[in-house]
Amino acid sequence: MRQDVASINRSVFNAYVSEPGLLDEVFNENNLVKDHYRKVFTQFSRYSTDDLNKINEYAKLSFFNQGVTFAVYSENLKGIERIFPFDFFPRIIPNKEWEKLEKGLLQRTLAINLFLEDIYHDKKILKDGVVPAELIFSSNFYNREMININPAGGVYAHVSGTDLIKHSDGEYYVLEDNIRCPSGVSYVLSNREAMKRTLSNLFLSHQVLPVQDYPEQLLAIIQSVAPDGIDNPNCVVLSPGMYNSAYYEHSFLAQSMGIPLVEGRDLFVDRNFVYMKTIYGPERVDVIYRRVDDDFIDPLSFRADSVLGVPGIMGAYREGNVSLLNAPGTGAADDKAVYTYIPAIIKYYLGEDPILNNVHTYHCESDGDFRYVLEHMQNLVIKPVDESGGYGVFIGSKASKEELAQYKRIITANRRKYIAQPIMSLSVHPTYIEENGCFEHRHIDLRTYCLMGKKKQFVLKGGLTRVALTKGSLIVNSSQGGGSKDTWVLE
Amino acid sequence: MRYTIEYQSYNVYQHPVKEAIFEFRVLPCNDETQAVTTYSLINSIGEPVFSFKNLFGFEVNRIRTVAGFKEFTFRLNAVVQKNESELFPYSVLSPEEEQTELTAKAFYIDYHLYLLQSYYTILAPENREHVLEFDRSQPLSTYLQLLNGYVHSMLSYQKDTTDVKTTANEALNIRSGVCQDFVHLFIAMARYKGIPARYVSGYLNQGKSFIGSALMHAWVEAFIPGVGWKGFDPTNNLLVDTNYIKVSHGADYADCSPIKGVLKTKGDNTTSYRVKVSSQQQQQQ
Repeated sequence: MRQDVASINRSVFNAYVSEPGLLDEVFNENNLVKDHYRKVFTQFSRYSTDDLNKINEYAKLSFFNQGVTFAVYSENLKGIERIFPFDFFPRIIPNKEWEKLEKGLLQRTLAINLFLEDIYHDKKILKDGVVPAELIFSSNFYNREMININPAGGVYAHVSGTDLIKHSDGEYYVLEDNIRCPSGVSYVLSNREAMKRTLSNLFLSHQVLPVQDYPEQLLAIIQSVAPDGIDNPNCVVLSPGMYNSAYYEHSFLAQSMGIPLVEGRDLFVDRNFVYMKTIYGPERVDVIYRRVDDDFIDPLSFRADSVLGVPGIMGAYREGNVSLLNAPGTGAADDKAVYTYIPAIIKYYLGEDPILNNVHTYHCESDGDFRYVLEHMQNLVIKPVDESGGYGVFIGSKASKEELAQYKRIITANRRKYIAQPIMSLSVHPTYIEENGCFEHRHIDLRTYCLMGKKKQFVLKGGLTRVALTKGSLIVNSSQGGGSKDTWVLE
Repeated sequence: MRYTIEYQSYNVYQHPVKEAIFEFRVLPCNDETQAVTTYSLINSIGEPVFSFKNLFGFEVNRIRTVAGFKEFTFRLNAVVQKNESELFPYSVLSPEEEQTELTAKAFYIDYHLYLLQSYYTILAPENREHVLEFDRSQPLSTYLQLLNGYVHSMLSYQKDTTDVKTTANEALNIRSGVCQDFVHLFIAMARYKGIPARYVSGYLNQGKSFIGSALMHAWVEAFIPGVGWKGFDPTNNLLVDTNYIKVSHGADYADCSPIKGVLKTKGDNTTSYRVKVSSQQQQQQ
């Protein structure tokens, strides 16, 4: 039972029990509401279950009306279209906390860009032994076609999606960097829209920093990296097409930036320039925000069977006639094994201490770490280094004996592929549980979005708070049954 | 020595091709041993040829077309001046110095493209025992010359046992192949011994009775510390000299394939090639 505001109806929080050892975003250790959540808590406490169900339905309706869906990959190759579950209890980040995060994200992204420029040119960091060369060269995402290419402004990772959690010690930790084609930003915008539509008074009673300027900022970043000498660049969003899980986002971003959404078959390369087929004839394309993976962007350079890409585009890129965001080969820096070197990478290039914490990581490749991992499997999360979206993740504390033994065999067979980390306790946040008609705590994380262009940078204020909707679950990915919340950074 | 080279490819398609981009790596390169004096690239559909420099610094020629066609001819004519100097690959450093350099960390990083095994060069564990032993007290040049003869004797030259997808491992299993397979096997073994090795494609003087001179040929360049890259032809068990006209190099065949294309068409197609290499000295005879 909460002892906070005695005069109001707290029935929707009645079932809310704190669990020792878990950090609650809303309540402190004495079960008191934290200051920055006071208004929200007070208002929600006044509602009955009926009221909350109504709010929930309004919110859902907002997503139907906005047409926000995503596809889940399964055994059958065509995705199933779904609505991304939205929780109307907003996550609030006090300004002071956010300022540190923002500084840390910019520092991290800058260092990652310098690292990418280095590994595709002089490789000083490898020669100095700060990052093992073998680790980079054996990465599936190290792209030798990038060797000695100079992307405009020296930027490789233009769009970064860094995942953070808040641990029980009250500190934020970076879980992983996503710098290939990070997705999810459209949900940030549609969550905000849903929030404004359903709880407008509550929203307006707070000074929340805006997120709606993201498309505008992204467009400015895209334009900033146009090839030299192009003043008014022609920019497009390149999507793999409607069967891609993030197709909604591709079309949403193209539309809100006011630039064409294209697929590979709409573009072609002639005389080392990229053109778009239009009803008025071919039109030159200068910058491509591509949401097609490296392997598929050019059948002449990479997978010959790809029909999603543009044959010859790497030649045009190499000649400096087109810019690609993100640059190919950025995956060499978001490999989960490279993640563990990010603090060293920040120090190496910037001479600064990392502002954001990394989670301690064990490399199965190293003998000492591997022994530790085998002996402590039940206390560790083990992940393949080259997968994203939560696929192939093993959580020791939740595994049966057979699963433990089976996973032991898997990692022993391919040690380079696996890293392990202590099980971080993701913070919890009150989340409306429809079936029970009340708020319960669920684990959350935070996907942030950082943009970097030629002499331009931007961090989206807040980002996407992802919720593991299954009770007790730590996996927040949308493809694995996660939902999300509107995230407020207060002024 | 002055060479005149003619390369021609001729493709026939069952149904008209609506849209196509072709890529050619057939033009001899310029380096310290050779210079292209004149050349022309001609194609039957009259599209302009454009080119870009690939990651190894070689010019790749491309043609794009939307004109429907069922036949496509591409022809290169080039005159190449080849230097007379014949530098045989002898070590200049002591074996000890060579080993120090080969095993240095920075060396591995600088030459990683030619040290890491690739799709074509990985040998199955049971086949790695066939890799020629390297007596590290001997000069590297001695090992490379032995390896040239070793690979030459390991495979028999046969035209239809392998294709462009065949790996060194597969060629070793059937003990036969063409120049591409000899080269991949040499590269595989050199790399297992920590010696940088790369795939070279080019033309052979047709005036001598070399194996593989009828079409484009392939050989190896291996790196000798203190000396540089030196050419070995395991198909003929010869050292590369003025009879070899280089087009390009790469980590393996995939970086050097003479012709590639992405086309919109249906049905079967056939490709035939013709290569004519003549040296001026012979023409005067």
